[in-house]
Amino acid sequence: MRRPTLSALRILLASAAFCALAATTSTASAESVDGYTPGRGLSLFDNHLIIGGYLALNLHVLDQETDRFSPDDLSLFLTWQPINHLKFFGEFEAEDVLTLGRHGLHTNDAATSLERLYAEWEPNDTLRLRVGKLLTPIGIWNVIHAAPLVWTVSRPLSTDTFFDTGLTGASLDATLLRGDFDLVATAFGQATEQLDEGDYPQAFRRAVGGRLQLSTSAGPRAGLSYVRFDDETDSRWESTFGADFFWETTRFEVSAEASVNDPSSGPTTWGAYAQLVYHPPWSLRLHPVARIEYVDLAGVERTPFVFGLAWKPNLCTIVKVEGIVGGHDTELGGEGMLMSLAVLF
Amino acid sequence: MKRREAFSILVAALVWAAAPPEPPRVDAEESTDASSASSWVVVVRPSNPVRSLKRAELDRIYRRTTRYWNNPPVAAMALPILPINLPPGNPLRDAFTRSVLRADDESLSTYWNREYFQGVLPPMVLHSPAAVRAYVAATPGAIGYLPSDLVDPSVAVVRVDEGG
Repeated sequence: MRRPTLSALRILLASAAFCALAATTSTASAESVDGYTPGRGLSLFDNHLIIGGYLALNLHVLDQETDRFSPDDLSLFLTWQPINHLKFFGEFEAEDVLTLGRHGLHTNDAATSLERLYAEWEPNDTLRLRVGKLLTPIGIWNVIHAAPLVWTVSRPLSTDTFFDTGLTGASLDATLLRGDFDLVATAFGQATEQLDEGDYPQAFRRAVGGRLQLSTSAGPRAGLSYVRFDDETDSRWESTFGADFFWETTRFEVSAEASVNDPSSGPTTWGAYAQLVYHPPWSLRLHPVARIEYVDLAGVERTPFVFGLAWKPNLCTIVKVEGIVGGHDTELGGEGMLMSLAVLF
Repeated sequence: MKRREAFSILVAALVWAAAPPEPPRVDAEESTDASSASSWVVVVRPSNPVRSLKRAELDRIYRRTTRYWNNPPVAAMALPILPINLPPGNPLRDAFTRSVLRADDESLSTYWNREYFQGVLPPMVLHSPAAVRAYVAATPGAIGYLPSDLVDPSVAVVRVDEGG
């Protein structure tokens, strides 16, 4: 097993840089009428146009990857609402723009992508139609995957291994509000090539699916998802089933997801995770996080365990440090430590 | 630094972070401020026919999961709701948020960060109760909250029922 190559001094320097950057980030209120507000973007034309985004700086010290320190994600959001009921949303992302690794500073891993670009028509609270490039509405993590919104640097394997995380097509939500319960039914589909296809294990060429999500006013939320798709990478038709659960109280956030991929030929694969976040009652804003995962990838079974701390010095900044155990031969990159500073702007 | 040492430091930090805190102290002055700030009333424009809302409905409005006053079959007629907040840290806002949303601004920040990622912003903020009253009085679809002694005929009071 290879020893991490970044020296203790470099780790300490990176840690100090993370903390200094986090501490100097503005703690101004995250709401306003027009103008710039940290964490809520630049609002123009009476909130009809909003420009925002996020930046994530990551330090990876994993035994099956080259150690690196890089701006992992620089993402820009644009929301334009020309009239009531109609909105356009775009997200453009630059990944690994600059990387500091064993061979010094380089841009070899730099990539740009169009994460989302869609039109949204919402005639009332019951219906919502989105057309364009969307995040595939499966599970919890995929639709909120941005670094400032999640509690760990690493992403659970089951949230991007068994389906394409992006969808170029349409989704229709129907919402039913009844007393203490909200039921959201979603149908989605893709009939064309993916717009700006990324490098995913499963790539949709055509897809059709749906999701049912039940929320209660007491907090717990549960969802069931299904997608049937033509996989562009191996031209097989595959089905993925998903189930998820989320519950946040004043002290805890519990989330869990499971996905099963069943191709027309070849073995069935599946994965799941459960994550617990503790919200402390005191003002340090340090949140301990623990996550257990399981994946069965056609005979390769792994049970990665992630444990860490997330510090929120203000409402739009999060500093994360975590350890990974049992992640060998997976996309997690083995065992080791990850750190991240993520800021919504 | 070896991985084992790094893991040990991380585990120690986790144990420290999870240690029980000292109980918070509340002094008499803070307590008085909180109780005086709790007498808010919800207001809309008088032309808005809504005169009562359940707490859960108001919660959905201020979380922006309910975004329209009415949901008629003719889609274009649904009137958008424009909820108005006072600035973070305002005692009246704190009292309203605790009472209606049963949360505080810090715990809501995760929620709003995730909504922002979907292109949804929190309620608009105006900097004084008088500005809220003036905006609500002039804007179809607006809803806000005021100290009860600031209510005048330019706005209509909405009763908030605890049920549902």
